[in-house]
Amino acid sequence: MKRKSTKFVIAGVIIFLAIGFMIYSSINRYSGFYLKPGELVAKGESAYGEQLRLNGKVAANSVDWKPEIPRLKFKITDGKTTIPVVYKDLPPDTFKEGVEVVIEGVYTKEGTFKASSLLAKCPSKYESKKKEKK
Amino acid sequence: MVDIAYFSLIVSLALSGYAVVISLLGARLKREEMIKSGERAVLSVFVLLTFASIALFHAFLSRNFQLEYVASYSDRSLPTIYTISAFWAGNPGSMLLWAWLLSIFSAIVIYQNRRKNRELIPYILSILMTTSVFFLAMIIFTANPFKQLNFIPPDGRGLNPMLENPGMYLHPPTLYLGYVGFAIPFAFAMAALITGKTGEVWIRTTRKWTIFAWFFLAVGNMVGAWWAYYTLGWGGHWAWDPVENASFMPWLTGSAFLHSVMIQEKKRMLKTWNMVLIIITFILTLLGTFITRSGVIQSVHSFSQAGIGPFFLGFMGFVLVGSLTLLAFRLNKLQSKGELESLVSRESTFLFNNLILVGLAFAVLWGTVFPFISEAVKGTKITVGPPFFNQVATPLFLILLLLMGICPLIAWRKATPSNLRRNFIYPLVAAIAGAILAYIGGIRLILVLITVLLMIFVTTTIVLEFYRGTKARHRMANENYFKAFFTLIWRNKRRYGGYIIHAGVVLLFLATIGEGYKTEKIVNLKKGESVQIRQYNLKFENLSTFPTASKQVAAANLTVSNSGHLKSITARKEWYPKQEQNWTRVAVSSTLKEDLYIIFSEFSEKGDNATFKIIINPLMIWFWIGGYVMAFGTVIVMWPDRREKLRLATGYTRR
Repeated sequence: MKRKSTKFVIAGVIIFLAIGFMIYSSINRYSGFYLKPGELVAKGESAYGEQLRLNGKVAANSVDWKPEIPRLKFKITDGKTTIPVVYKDLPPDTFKEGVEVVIEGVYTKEGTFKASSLLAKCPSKYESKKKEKK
Repeated sequence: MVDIAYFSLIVSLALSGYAVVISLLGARLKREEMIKSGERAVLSVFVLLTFASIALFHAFLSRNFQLEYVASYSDRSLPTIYTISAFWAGNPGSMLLWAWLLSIFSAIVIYQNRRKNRELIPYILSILMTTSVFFLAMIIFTANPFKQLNFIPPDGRGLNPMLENPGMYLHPPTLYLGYVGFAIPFAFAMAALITGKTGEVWIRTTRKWTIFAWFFLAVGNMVGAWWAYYTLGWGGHWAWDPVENASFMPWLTGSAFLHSVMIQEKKRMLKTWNMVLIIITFILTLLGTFITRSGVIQSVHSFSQAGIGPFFLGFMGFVLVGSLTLLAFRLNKLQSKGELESLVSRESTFLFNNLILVGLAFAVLWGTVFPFISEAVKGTKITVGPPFFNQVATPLFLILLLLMGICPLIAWRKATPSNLRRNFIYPLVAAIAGAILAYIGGIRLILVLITVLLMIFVTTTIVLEFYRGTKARHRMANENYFKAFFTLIWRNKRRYGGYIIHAGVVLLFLATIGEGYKTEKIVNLKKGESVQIRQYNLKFENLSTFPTASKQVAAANLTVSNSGHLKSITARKEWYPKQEQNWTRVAVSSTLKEDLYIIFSEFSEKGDNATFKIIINPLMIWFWIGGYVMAFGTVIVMWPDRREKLRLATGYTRR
């Protein structure tokens, strides 16, 4: 009687350990820092070449979009620090100056951020208006 | 009307609280009139919340912009149909929808159990109404849909155009039907624990509810994916976004629950495990609502932010601690009557399926909340990208697929070697032959080959099940094959409906194979210029621009020639001046083989030059077909069955 259920407990534990190990080994490999431009610059040289996410606003008068290449250049800012960004894909609909964006990619030695993905926050117009009124 | 509606929310809160107390008292003191009074209170909550919801619909339809909520999510130009769906566009309405559905379901439970499960009912209602108290308190104190402005704006701010879409019409209500639906089996489970009636009664009574909730969660997720694919226009349908994960997790544990209750029904085993599963699932539905509505976890399409966080976390903690304590007290009542015998048995495939589903849910949960935990503990903000989820989920999905094929082939209790040989030979031969053919056909991606192998294995298994059943009927009942096939399904809806659902899941896997063969290209075309992508030749004919009431439309007309076959396609870009927002309306041309997905990105002022992103998504349509097949199978499973009722009735008398 006892031995039969032990078998299952062992099998179950092995499965959970295997899944746990998969989670553990993948989470460090596929997670990256989530920074503001100022924090990125503060990290200095250690930030070069590492896959990370950057969150900030699209700086005013910084967007340079060449659809025929395609190549999008703009600057991302947290109000104090500004970093130039290059992105070789189409910007999302919600992308425009002043909007909050999350970009993922690599920071290069030249001080440019090469983005491989670009997400613009969904229009927060309603929310922000609400806040103004309060 | 608005004032009365608000007042009815407050009365509902009071009545929900009253129902909790009086039901518990009535059960304790065995006073039938108190229990009846609790039932009447629940029914009153249902009536009052129905009135409040109608009042909110009415406020939207009558354009009552004095209501802040109406003014925030609609305007005069919004079509009637989307004015109705604006009800659940924001937090207050979504929470009201939750509470309203809960009151509807509670009323149905009272009706269904008016002559049975009488000793469970007071506890069930007190648990449901505790949830109701929580949601109503949250609505009244933090997210009141009937909040009035001290002035009347001439017009509302309008609905986000991306929500003006059939997908967004269906997505929230279907998901909520699923979320709230799981509250019913949860309440029955807790009532079973409190009363000590931990037999199979609660599971049999709530079987339909469980499938109902599971079905709508599946539909909600599907519609969400469909909306993302056609509306968000980035070329995919699933991105492991926290909001998507939020509704996927309870579906995974719900699927586990659905399978493991079969073992309890048949073999009286896994009782504690089932309790744990329904507790986890219910908490995950709360977490799902919380993640979607609070925006706590960084997410690009968390539309809303409001001070509902502490409320939710508090309630989830309360549910978790409360239900686990209860479970701990009743562990002695949950001893299995049967016992698992062999690792090589059908029971054990169910068990492994459960472990994998729960493990998968845990992996998704961990990846979703890890950034949050890391920030709270270490102070560093990090993100977990889709590669994490793909890495962990892919092997688990494939194991689930394998189990789906093994399960019907293997005997209950203990499989003998001869049983294994006889049943496995055809599916195995077919699967290996299929994989070899795929290899000869030029498929070299190892993951795809494994998926093909397993898909054929499962499909053969399912076909064999139908074939053997039909043949047996043909011989025994002397029916022709056609009739035998349909009576087979009709007489065993649960079993064969389940196989149909599995066939739908196989199609979902078929669609994911396409991911590996995606082609993308960004092109800039002059008027009249064309471009070749695989077998498609796309010609940019012209651009037309025109205004409508709410937007400015730019439509790019293209001619697509697919190996001589001509077709004209229009991709649009729309500008909504009121919302100051662009919206790219992708053009999708689907065949069974692949989707041609055209994103119209940019155009020059004169309209003689435009930029497109063209994506070829192979096998995409099978994802949606798989969804329909799953839905069809679920309808068969849920179809009322007289024989089943009879079987249950005899089951009751036997004990």
